Amino acid sequence: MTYQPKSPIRCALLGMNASASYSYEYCIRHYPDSAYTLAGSMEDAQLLLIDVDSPEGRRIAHQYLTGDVSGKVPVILSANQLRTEGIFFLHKPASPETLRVILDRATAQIGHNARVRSQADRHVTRAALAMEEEDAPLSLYMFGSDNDSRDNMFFDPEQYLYGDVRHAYRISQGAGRVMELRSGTLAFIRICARSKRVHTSVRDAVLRSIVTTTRIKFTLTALAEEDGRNWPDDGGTESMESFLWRLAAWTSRGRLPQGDDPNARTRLRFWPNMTRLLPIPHAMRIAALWSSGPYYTMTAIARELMISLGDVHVFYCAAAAIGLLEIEAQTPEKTFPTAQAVRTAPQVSNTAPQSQRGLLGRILSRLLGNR
Amino acid sequence: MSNHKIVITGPVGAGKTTAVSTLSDIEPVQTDAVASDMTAQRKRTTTVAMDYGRLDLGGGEHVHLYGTPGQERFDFMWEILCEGCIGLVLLVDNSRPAPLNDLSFFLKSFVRQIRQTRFVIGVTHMDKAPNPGLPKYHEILNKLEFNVPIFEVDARSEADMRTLLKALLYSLDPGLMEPARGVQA
Repeated sequence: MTYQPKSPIRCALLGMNASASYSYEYCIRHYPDSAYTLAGSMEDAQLLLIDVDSPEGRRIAHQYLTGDVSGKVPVILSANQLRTEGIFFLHKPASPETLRVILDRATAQIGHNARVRSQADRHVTRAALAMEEEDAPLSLYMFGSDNDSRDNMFFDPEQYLYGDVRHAYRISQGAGRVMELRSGTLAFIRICARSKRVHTSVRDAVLRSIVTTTRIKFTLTALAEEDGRNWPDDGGTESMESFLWRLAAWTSRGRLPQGDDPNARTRLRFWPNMTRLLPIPHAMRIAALWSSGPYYTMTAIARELMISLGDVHVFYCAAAAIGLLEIEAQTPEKTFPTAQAVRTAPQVSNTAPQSQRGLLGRILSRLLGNR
Repeated sequence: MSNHKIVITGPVGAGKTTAVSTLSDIEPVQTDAVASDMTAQRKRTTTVAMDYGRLDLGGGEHVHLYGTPGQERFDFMWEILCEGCIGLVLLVDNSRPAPLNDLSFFLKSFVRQIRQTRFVIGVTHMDKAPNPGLPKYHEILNKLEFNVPIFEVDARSEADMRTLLKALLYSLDPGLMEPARGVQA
């Protein structure tokens, strides 16, 4: 039975830093049907989104589990895979769609709890209560990142803001005009192909939420201006390169753009300008290996560097977005790389002798401040 | 006790002295003299022998950081300083009249060291002089069949200089893994 609340479900965001809190708040407030809102306080909340990766979050979660925060449905968030028997769990990072699914199920749990309480108030028998319990929604939901399954290996760029931005850039190139993507009255992204600059009113925390959802639509219009000469110096202007790199990396989340061959043998034509681009996990190592000469498949890179294929996919998407990749002319027939393929991908040899590796490792450790 | 070195080179005013100072764990040793030639148009003093700084790795082990003098007439120092170095950092000042020529010149001058080890390039002063952009540098490097890290840097920025050195280390060995915090490799 679907529970239809009469008013938006009130959510509390607990144990989160400002940036994460901002992202979740944006999602919660901007679901199209206004099904959720932020609670004024924890006491007023119906749903508790608790990030247990912070000490504060762990304290609140402990409070709940020991029964001090009754009558509310908690959703536990963590970057680690936790086995939270009987409690909703959301694996970070999660897309707005995934968040929405779990919020809807937690809402169903609220409805179920309300019905059970109401029946208990009417002195229903224990047997009836037990039957009702059997109809309850599953009490344990595990959601992973979107690259967990083969079905989720690809994404369609055109369904995301990333596709809209690429489209706007192409039009700006052809028309010689600044193009504006706009959503609502406040959020805009202005793109100038001539100066290769972007100006946006959207803060990074919000942008990150937007790029991972397919639900928010932007309208595209051509502005009268031909370049971004008059854009204000308000911190919202940046190079097209750094903007696209970031958008592609966030959109990818371990997936590849639809139509790209996961087994393509590829080479990094140039190093990305690492000091001015969003840091991506293992980007430096991937760039070093991928630029070292021959063409490599992504599975070979993952195997050689002993990192996840998803991390290579993220780098691939970001590097491809700014035109740094070159695909070998003849590539094998398209197939999905399997775990077996990763294990058996050809070994590449591009490493320092063991003695030097020790020294380089110590210097690296020093640069990372690990002394 | 082992000692190793990394050399930072490039034309006058590229930020070599600043980079050594930014990275060094000790007060850097500088051999500045009042500039008397064309260098005086760009800055008051210039390095005449070398800059020296040090990264302390613990256990008495150090990496010496040497900044070369920028002027060609001190090129005899370049080879001396580069002898046995782990890698080379080339800084190019984008605000000079012909930074791409500077790049070609230094690549040619350090060709022996480049063949023996790896190098990275930091382009400085791009905030003041954004052109030529990095793609122009890539073109030159591509013609010479170099695919090396080349980043926009501010020599005063520790983050930028560390990123450049990290790229050098990973170029030497992409298989290098970040050691666990508090544990030496």
